[in-house]
Amino acid sequence: MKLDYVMLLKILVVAAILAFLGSWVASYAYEPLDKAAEILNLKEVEIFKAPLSGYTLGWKTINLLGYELDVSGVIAGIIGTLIVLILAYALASVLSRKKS
Amino acid sequence: MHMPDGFLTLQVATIAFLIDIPFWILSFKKVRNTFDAKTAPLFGTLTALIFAAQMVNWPIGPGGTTGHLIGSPLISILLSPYSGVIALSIILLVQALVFNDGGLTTYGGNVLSMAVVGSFVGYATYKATLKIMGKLKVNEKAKIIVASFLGGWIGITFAALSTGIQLGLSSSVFGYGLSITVPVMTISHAIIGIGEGAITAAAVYYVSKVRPDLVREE
Repeated sequence: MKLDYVMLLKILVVAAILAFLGSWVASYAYEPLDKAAEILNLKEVEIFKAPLSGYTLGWKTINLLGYELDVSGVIAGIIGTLIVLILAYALASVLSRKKS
Repeated sequence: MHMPDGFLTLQVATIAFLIDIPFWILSFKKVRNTFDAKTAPLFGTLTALIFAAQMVNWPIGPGGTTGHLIGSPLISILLSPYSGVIALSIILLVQALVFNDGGLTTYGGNVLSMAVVGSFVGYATYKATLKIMGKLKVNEKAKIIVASFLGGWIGITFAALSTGIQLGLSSSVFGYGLSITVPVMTISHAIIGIGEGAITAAAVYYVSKVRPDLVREE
């Protein structure tokens, strides 16, 4: 397998765009499991408070092009993407190094 | 599909975690034999892409519900189902620890559904479809599109079935038994999963054009 830096860059750009969209215009989530829990009045048991709980830092939103943009949500999404990138790359690098 | 803390009984959560262990061991062994210095960056970027894509919700579920990509079928088709298990295990861990998206006690259950079932069922469906269509006189690209669409669609539907079974077996805390949780989760995600299938097909088709070495048909 050859290493294609252009393709890797393209994937990262798409990931950044998705993190932006997912934290803004497509962030509304109401999954079938949420609906069932709502009907049953079932509450999550919060055993700890995550640092970026709810994919936001809790800052105020700004109005951009008619949309309420949660800037901290976008930053949280980008931070999450970077954490996953670093963890996955580090783990894969360690595994491939052990092989050699 | 992420089950938060409190939705599974301790017994079901523990059994799900124990089922995951041999899949983790097998996946790490397989990946260690196949990964090299060139695969590691691709695995890292694809895993980050799937994490970002999971934040995008589409409102096509029944009753005004939304859905999102799980992505394990996509990584499984492009790299391997073992890579899919490891990638989704990382994503689910970060989502639980950093974002409270999916619980810690239910981590094993979420891994079982989205990482293990999503990866292996998605990949098996993709390969089986290619094999069946291999006997037909159909354009190669069409085979890849149909096979990857079915891989994504069936992969997420079976992942939801797994979640439905776990919730139904946890009726003492979740409130509904298997007769409700299994059809509700499976049918709703069979509809939502059309999006998973379409995105998987589009992504695999694109990769087959720019990096055909990643989409092997054998």
